[in-house]
Amino acid sequence: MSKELPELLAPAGCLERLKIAISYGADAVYLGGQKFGLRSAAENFTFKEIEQGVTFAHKSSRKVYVVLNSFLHDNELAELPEFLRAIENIGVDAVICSDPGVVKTVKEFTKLEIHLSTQASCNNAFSARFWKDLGVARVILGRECSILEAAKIKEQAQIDVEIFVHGSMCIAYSGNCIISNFTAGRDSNRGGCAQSCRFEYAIKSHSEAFSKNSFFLSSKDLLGIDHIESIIKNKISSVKIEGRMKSALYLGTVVKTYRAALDSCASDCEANQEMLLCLKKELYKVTHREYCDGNLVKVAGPDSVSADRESEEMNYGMVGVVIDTTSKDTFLIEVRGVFKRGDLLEVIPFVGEPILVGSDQAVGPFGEEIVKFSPSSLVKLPKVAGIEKLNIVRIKL
Amino acid sequence: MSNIVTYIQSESDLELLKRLRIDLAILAMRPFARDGISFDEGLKLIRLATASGTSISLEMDKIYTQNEFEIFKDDLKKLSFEMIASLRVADLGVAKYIMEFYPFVKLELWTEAIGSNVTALIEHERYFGRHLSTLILSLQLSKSQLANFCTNISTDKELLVLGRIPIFYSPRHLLTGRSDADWMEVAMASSEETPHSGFSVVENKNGTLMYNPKDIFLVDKLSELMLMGVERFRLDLRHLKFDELEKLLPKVVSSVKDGGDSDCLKKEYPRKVISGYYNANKSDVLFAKLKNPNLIRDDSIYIGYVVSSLKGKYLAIVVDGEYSLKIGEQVKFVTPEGKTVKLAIGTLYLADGNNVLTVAEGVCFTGHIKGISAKSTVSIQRF
Ligand code: SF4
Repeated sequence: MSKELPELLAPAGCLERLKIAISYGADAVYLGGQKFGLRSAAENFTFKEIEQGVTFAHKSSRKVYVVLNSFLHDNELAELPEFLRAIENIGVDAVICSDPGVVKTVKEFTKLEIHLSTQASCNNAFSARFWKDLGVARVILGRECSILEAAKIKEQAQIDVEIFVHGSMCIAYSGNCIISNFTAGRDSNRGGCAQSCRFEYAIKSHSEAFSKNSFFLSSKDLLGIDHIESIIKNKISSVKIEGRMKSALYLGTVVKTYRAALDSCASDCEANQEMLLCLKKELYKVTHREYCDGNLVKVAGPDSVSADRESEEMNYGMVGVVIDTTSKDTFLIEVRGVFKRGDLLEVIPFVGEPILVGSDQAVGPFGEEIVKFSPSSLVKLPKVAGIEKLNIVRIKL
Repeated sequence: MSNIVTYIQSESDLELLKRLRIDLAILAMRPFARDGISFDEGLKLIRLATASGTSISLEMDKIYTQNEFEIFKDDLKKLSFEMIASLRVADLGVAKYIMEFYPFVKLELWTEAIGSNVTALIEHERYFGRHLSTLILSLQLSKSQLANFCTNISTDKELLVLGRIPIFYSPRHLLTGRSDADWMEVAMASSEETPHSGFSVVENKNGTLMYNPKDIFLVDKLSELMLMGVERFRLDLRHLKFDELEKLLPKVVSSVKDGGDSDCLKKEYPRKVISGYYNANKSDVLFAKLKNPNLIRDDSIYIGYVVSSLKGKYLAIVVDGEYSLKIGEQVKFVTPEGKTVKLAIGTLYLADGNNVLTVAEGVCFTGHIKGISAKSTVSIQRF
């Protein structure tokens, strides 16, 4: 008998990344419309794109959630019903909200399922019960909650719980950092966070030990793969990957890795530790800050902050995305990162080991001789079995 | 008549309030408050305040994880509620718990993060009903928003009009890395990447807090706020020395009671001040500009986007919209920079080189067009 797995929820920053996330194994994706979500500066979805995304996801019984987690002003709230009706007609599966005014409006005008955004800083069962009373079906818990706490909240409040499992972390209690609001005139609770926590600060204290230059507000990234078994055992409803602004390489790799990790733990037998270790290595191949496991098991300590330097580690670079496989003998890559003819490329299939592809025979789409391929060019390569449209192509740096 | 409410941290503060006939004080003590005096000091002050006839509103603005909540329930039992007029709560779980298990206690709800529209506040009024005595309004509301709130909300409303502005709250111990004792660590932080420097940082058992380098000063707006219907004005001057407080507080009281000279008060105030968002909240204007309107597709005419362009050879287009790309079709290309080219599609072929008349989905090619780069949108040209 196989164990019940949590939903694997992935970010979809654009229609292409939605398709990538679904293709690599996400059970559900979350996306932003043109209005009402944080990440307002990002490429968000038009109604038609949402519809295309929903059609693509529903074809394989996956779900699409629309993020409405901005804290709205009254004039915006007045515009919300029209937006809600449109996405309900499209068939989205749920909306993610944090503002009680938005929750009320969703309840009043639609039958859409409501998930509470982490922005609402819901971290305990009583808080979850409050939101449940307001009509929320699932709470996305604050990153401050451990897996065991999440399980208790689920049991005590009788509500679905979702936790973050991978990605960048806001170091403040969500919704409780307004540094950008007062330093950059940008409202972090309305999509304008200026990432002030990633700056270096000169600290002056009466104690010399604490007087130094430091990135003292900069959290390491969350890595939850080591705790997948515990997440399953504790019946967490959904695990979420952060990063609507992240690249297709990041998304494809992370989704595929967590999909494989969850599936490897699905059977009743013990998880294959060797396999989990192997999978974990994949997560070190995408751009990331230093990793930590946040509060998943115990309260995040000093080792959860990258105080000494703010850098991102990158072992592999993005080459591009396979955009056409219709030709009999060749396939086409849309190039997103520089590589030279002769470099060894790795195509990441939706399932299974990366496929190594030499680029000695790389040419332009109509046989043009090109030595160095740059972003926004196309490259044609001889067909290799197992390569599909939307596969990500990477290169070891 | 509007009231003043301010924090007490010591017996001297309490005496000062008595002298000024301020009969309600906020007491912030750990573990219930993010930033406050110790539990023992707090209990002592509550007893003294009660004895001297000053009502205490107890700050309870900490956010609780599930495990912390269990401890909180026990801590709550240590309080003598007959000495506490109300609880100032930020965590909605705490508010719900108090409502259910201490139904006789008045709730004052922090709405900094959850009160940016009237509907939200009305929801809180409806949910907490008679238990809710005051809504502590967000400091990010503009004058017109405040007026709208006052018109539509019947619960008493409180606004910070003078003092420090909290801008950051994390459960992590970011200065010392220690979480093992109930201490307080204070520092200043400055960053070259922001024009603002001198953030005051406080770390205690509850985590790390940061305050804005400049304080809020709305004392000159008090009569306006009173007319709007804000019932209570809060001062948070806990970061000032007692002699500064002793000089300032009588002047603030006189501003409220008989419109004292706020300009003079502003000059005397020992820290730099701002009026925050009071005059206008345009905090989303800036980031809206970060969006490139040329990249947003118009669903009603969208065909696809240019994925690659090779001078003199081809333009590669990904068709992914509602409409197909057809030979002879009048189309419009818009580059990310906003340049527009309108023309009829002359040739159309696929990656295998075969010519086609129409493409409904996927990659196709047409002749190169000068000035049209990757990421340009392709739409039907409507006349
Ligand atoms: S600046 Fe950092 S801590 Fe503050 S809201 Fe933005 S990501 Fe979160």
